[in-house]
Amino acid sequence: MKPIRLDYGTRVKGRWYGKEFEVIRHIGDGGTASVFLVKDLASGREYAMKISGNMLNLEEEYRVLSRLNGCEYVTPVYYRDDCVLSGTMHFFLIVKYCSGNNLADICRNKRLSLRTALQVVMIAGGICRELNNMNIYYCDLKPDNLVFDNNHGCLYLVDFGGIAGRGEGVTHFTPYFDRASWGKGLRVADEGYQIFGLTMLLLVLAVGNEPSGKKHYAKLLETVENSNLSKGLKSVIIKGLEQEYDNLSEYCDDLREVAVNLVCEQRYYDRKAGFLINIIFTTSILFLILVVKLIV
Amino acid sequence: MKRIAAMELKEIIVVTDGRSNIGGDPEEAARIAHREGIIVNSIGIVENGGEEDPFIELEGIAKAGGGLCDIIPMTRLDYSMQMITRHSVQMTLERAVSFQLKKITGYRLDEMDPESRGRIIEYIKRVSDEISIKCVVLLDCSGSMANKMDTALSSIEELLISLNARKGISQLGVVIFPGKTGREYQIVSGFTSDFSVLSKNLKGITTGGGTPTYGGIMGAVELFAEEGLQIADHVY
Repeated sequence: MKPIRLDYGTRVKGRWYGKEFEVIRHIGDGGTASVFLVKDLASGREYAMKISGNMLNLEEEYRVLSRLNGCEYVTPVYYRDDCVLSGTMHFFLIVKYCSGNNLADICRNKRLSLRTALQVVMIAGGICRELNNMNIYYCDLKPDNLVFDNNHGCLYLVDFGGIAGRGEGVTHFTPYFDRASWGKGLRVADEGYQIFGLTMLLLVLAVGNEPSGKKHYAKLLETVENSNLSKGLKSVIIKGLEQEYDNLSEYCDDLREVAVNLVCEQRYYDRKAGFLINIIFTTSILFLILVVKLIV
Repeated sequence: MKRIAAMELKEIIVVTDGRSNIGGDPEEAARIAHREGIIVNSIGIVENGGEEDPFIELEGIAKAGGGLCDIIPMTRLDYSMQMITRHSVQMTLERAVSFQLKKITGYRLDEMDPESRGRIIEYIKRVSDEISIKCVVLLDCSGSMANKMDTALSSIEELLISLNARKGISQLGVVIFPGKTGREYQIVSGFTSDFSVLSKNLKGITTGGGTPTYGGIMGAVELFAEEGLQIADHVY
């Protein structure tokens, strides 16, 4: 289960289809695979290579990604092959390289605004709904798996290794975002599971909850109650955690309503502030004129 | 292939934060377990910034037991136990399917080109949710584990929750080492799928003493053997 380490310049040659790639740098590690930025020696193009000793997981991910090729929120997969590294068989996928940062890295430097956090969760919820229609239940919803592409300004979902069909056991999850770890239901793929995960994602992005440590549900609710979030948003969060929504659409509709109210509220305060500034400005001018007249 | 779907995985997960210091060679115990058809996995718990050196022994145990070794901080124990179990299921199926394929086609699964093996892998994935699992968590309860017990016990409960979400029958047993009154191990929970039974059996576990890993593994093997004598849901 140790991550794979490939030095700069290491050449990886596909056993079956013969393509050869050169490692440029290490990008990151997942549960069972490591990701590298590589260069295709034939074309000189750069790609991301996901490499693992686990054939089943990689093959499963390839199958799902192939089905989703063309979807704007999934990185396209181009190639898969086997290779031998230090005498051991490994398996790899070649996918498009997105020069972006995952939300975990982004949030490490600066917490997102509430408006942006709501948008991210709504987009992620929308993607899940589309995938669910194909019976692809993406359940490992966490900031690390959402990548913001700097060049195209869009959000990608990554790591499709542990996809489940509706009602199947969830095998890829992160305890903090997993309802079963909080004692709030089974570890089974359904929309309730995703709503819980999305709500935890919102708490991490908007409230700054640390996705680690002990899981005390009562304390989590206390954090929500004591936060400076609006009453409406608190109610959506509690409903989300309790999975009182019938489906993702209903949940996303409520989030949208909160986001719209937030914008209206912001505009109201902006207008109010603008009005105050106008009054102060006009009063100052009148005062200035008065002073000038008095002097003259 | 029907026979493969009816398979049962027997697995031991050794959870410890240190090296064995009492009794025989734990690698030998893992080898004996593996000969009995049991996969032995190992998880080493490192303190923040701790050294991984003491865990070379755990890698040897996993190798001899045909399983996997994971070195992790305490906070990842629940995740690691579940990942390791899932990998054990897949590895067991992969080996069984490969064996059958070799007999029929002359090629193992990893000797087939990616296109041809796609459907077989799909089959393995489906079956991996359906085969029966019998898992023993072998928990180090030596003195150094004192401040880690709460997390360790809740991780064991988590594992059963996860296993129960599968379609196949899953049963979990728990053995601790060292045991009470100078014994090398103690079976605290026989095989069960019932969360409340497991929770009840995990209450009152105390820590103290050395780390007799060899004896612990042999105790876990004994639990599998006793199961053959129809002893279930039994607290010792």
